Parts: sequence; structure tokens; C-alpha cells
Amino acid sequence: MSATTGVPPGTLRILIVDDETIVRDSLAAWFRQDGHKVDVAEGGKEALHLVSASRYDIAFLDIKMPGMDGLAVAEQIAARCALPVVMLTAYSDRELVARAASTASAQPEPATATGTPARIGPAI
Amino acid sequence: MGLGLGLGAAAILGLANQLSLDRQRTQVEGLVALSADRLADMARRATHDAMLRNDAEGVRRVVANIGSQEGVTRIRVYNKEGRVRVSSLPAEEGTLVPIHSEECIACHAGPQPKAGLERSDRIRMLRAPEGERILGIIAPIYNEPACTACHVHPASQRVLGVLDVRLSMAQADAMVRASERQLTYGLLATGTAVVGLSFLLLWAFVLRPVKRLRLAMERAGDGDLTARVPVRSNDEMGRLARSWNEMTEDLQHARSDLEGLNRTLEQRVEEKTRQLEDTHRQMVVIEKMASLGKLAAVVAHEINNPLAGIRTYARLLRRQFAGGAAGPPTTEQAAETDRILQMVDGEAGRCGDIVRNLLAFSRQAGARLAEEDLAPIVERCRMLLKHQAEMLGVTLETRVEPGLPKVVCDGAQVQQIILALAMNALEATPSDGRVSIEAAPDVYGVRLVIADTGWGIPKEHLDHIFEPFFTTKEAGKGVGLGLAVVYGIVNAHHGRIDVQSEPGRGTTFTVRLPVRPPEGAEAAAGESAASPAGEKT
Repeated sequence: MSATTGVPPGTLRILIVDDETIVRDSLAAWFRQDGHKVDVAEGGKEALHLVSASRYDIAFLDIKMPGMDGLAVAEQIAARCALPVVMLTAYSDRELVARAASTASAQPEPATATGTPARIGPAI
Repeated sequence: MGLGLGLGAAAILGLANQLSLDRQRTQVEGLVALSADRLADMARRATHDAMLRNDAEGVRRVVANIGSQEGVTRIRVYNKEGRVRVSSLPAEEGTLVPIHSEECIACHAGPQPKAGLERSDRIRMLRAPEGERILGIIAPIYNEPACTACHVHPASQRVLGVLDVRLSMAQADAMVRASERQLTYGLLATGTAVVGLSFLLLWAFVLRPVKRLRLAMERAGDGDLTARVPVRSNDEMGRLARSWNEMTEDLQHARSDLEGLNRTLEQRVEEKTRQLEDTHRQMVVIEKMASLGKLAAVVAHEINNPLAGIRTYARLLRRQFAGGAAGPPTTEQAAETDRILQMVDGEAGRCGDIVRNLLAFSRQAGARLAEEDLAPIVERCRMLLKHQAEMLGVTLETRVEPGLPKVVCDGAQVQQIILALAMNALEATPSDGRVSIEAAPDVYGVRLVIADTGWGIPKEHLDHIFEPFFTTKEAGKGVGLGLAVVYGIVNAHHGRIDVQSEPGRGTTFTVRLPVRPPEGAEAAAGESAASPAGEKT
């Protein structure tokens, strides 16, 4: 999964996209403490730029962001590569969750994300 | 009308009276003339023998005798030449009566004296110096064969002399005057009776019914359609009264029908209004619930994010310490821990701000109203903002126009409006800029204008600036409740807020407040506070 990037085995490359500094930084700190390699982005454009430039094992996307929202970013990512995406939201809006779920199911290889929950789960 | 009738009747009666009196006077005069004629004839016959004998003394006795009768003022005999031969007034015997005197003129008016005269020609009316009327009659003494036998009178002479009798009209005139008086009194009495009776009849049959009708019309004119007129006769007045009664009754029915319809209509309108009000109330409740739901979602989002961060950091730290790192932490570790705790502190503070502002937002319905002078409030705001304005290098100006009326409001909340708007203005204005606070009388009541020369608000934001949690400030510098709170306060005071902004030129907020809240408007204040929707110009 991460053969070409030279990171130690068991280490994940994680992308966190959130406009809220506290959410972004706390999640990043958590995963870094676990020894993962974490990149952060404040918005959708920056995230897409990072996705194009590097390979990631998983991406955490905030749904509600100024400019391009998380769902749009997820669609763009899905169009480029098979990157598992976890949507984050502080809203308990069912409609929004449904929309997020439909976006996730549109991913070409949802199975690639199956291994991740056990390792990153405690943070979510 | 009564007076005219009376005067007319009086005139007719007066004329009839006058005609009757004239006739009576003529009759009386005729009677006196007749008795004078008889008296003259009697005197002539009584003196006939004495005259035949040429016994002047005998004639004088008869004349004196007749002349002494009551009512005979004078009786005399004069000859053809006009010399008085015998008179009841002896002093005038021998005097000459001029031929043109009134006694002689009847016969001697023409060139030839008349030998025979009608009685009316022989009569004349004289007036004594005392005013008394006197009737004079002459009786010619004709020549006859017995006279010519022994006397000197030639047979060709037809008239030998004249017997002149004068009778006083005093008694007859008195009688006529008495009669005149009686007639006048009678006339007056009759006239009064006729006028009185006419008036009574007029009053009973015309004036009184007309007056009743007029009063009824006046009452009807004032809106009382129960006004009826008694029908007392079957004549024109009676028919008029009946027509009036029928007309007012019809009108009354029509009006009661109309009022009934009106009442029904009012009831329906009231019912519909009530239904509409109920619907409106439900709508308000639904709207309120919807905005509360939206608010709750926004609050959840706003608070959830910092809480999520705080929890993550807390777990991170716990895990760090639970990991049982040997020995004291390195400087690097301590610095990292400090940074994390600072962030936790900051985010917890942010949550506190949100809660505090939410409380302020929810409190605004319960305004404590009092009559407030805005000048000291503006001055207080200036004092509070002065330091910050100096720090930012922004000129702060305040101006209160003279004649500013006092306003019934919650002074603390109005101060909150000014402070919130002015704080925003200061933060949105670069150094060397200017922020002004102005209070002035307005047609609406009073006007508070907070203007700045700052960066302005983008057009796309203008529609959202009064929504709760809308902010363009950097994270941590504001929670986006300031303008929502301002909006709620203005709304609760039944005022209005307008904003004008031009990017690069500045922003002007204008708050208009009524001098006092409209009557019975208290209940609405709290309801509308929770659903802000700014009015922009």
C-alpha cells in the first residue's frame, strides 16, 4: 500500500482537511502521536493539490467548509484516485449524512478502506 | 297666517259696519227731515188763519209756541223780500235774509226763482258754532184765493214768503253715535271671536298636526325612526300623517334588515380575522420553532467543533501520560503540552463566549423600559470606546443633535446596540479612519447613526449580517452573534435598522427607534426577536 514512499510498515499517510484549526490540529496531533504521517489542509483546493502531489492511505474531510465543501472535494478525489475518504461533520443532519454516504459509495474501491478503522478508529 | 286671517276678517266686518252705519245715518236724517217737514207744515197750517187776518201777534204766538218745543232751535217766517217777519228768536225780527244765503239759494240759484221744490231740495244741513248739527227746512207759503181777496198780494204772485224751521240733530246724532259704538263693540267682539275661532281651528287641524309632523321629521333626521305621528283625521293632514308613518316604518324595517346584515357581516369578518390570527400565530410558532431548530444546529456546530478539539487533545494528553514516559518530560514535550493546553483553554473560552452571547440573545425579549435621555448613553459609549479607538488609531466622533426627545427604551440594551455597532465599525476601519456615532431627532422618533470609513461589507454578505453566527472575522475573534443581538433589540423596541455599505468606502448603520412603543405591542416584541431577518438598503 505504501511501498514507494519509504515510510515504515504500519505507518499510514493521512490527509486531514478542515477549516477549523482546533479540529484539524488535534486530529493531526493524535495521529502523529501514533506515528502516522499526517498532512493538513485548510480547504478543498489545497487538499486536491496535496492529493495530486502525494499518495495518501486515507483522507478525513470536513463536510462544511467555506468555498468548496467536503462532498465536492470527495467527488474530485474519487475522480482522480482510489483514496478512502472519511467525512467529518459536527452536524447531525440526516440529509447531509445521506448525501455523504452516497458520495462514499460512488468510490471505485471502497474495500481499500476496510483495514483502516481498527487502527484509526479511536480518534473518531 | 292667523294674523292675516284676523286682519282680513276685521277689514270685511269693518266695511260692512261702515256701510250699515252710513245707511242708518241716512235713515235717521230722513226721519228728522220728515218730522221737520211736518213741523213746518203744521206751523204753516197753525198760522194760516192768523196770516189771513194779518194777525202778526197770533202768528208770533204760534211760532213761539212751536219754537219752544224740544229740538226746535228756531222757526221763523220771512216775506218774499227776505225780511224776517216773525221768529222764535224775537231779536232777529225785521232783519233781512240775503237772497244768496243758504236758506234762499235752493230757489234763487237760477235767474228765475223756483215756485215748487222737492223736499230734498228744501233741506240743508248746518253746523252750529258749538259743533252741533242742525237740519234746516224751508216751506214756501203759497198765494191762495183767500189771500188775494183782502190783501195787497196780487194774484200773480205765487209765493208770498217762506217758513224756515231748524231742528237740532243732536239727539239723532247721539243715537247714531250710540249705535256706532254698539256696532263697533259688536264688531270687535265678533272679530275677536272669528279670529280666535279661526286660529283654534287652524291650530287644531293644521298647525298642531304640522308641528307634530315636523318634530317627527326632526327625530327621524336625528336617526330615531320610531318617531310616529298620531292620525286624528281623515283629511289631507290625516293622510299626510299616515303616509309619514308608513314611510318611517318601511325605513325602520329596511334599517333593521341592514343592521342585521351588517352584524352578520361583522361576525363573519371577526370569525375570519380570528381564524387568520390563529393561523398567523401558528405560523409564528412554526417560524420560531424553525429558527430555533436552525439556531440549535448552528450552536451545535459552533460548540461541537471546539469540543471535539478539546476532547481529542484531552485524550492525547491522557494517552501521553498513561504511556508512562520514563523520567521528567523533555523540554520539547513540555512545550507541546503547554501548546495543547493553551489551545484547550482558548477553545473552552470560545465556547463560553458563544454561550454568553446566546444568553444575551435570548434575554432581549425582557426589556426593562424607562424614559431615557440618549445623550448620556452616547457619552458613556464614547468613554468605553475611546481607549480602543486610540489603540487602533481611529478617530471616534460622537454628536447628539439638540432637541433630541427622550425615548422609552431599555437604556442598557440601547447602549449595547451602540457599542456592538461601534465596536464592529472600529474593527472594520483601518488606522487614520473615522468612526462616528450620531443621535438625532427623526420623523420616526430618534435616529442613531453609526458610520465608519472602513473596508465596507461585500454585497453578498449584506443579506446575512443579521443572522446568528454569521461572521467574517477570523476564527476566535467573534462568534457572529453581535448583529443578531442588535437586530433583536431593535425589533423588540419596535424600531428598524438599515445598513448601507460600499466596499472600500465604509459602512453606515442607521437605527430608528420610536419615542415610545406602540400601544398593546408588548407581546409581539419577544416573538419576533428569535427570527432575525435584516432590512437592508
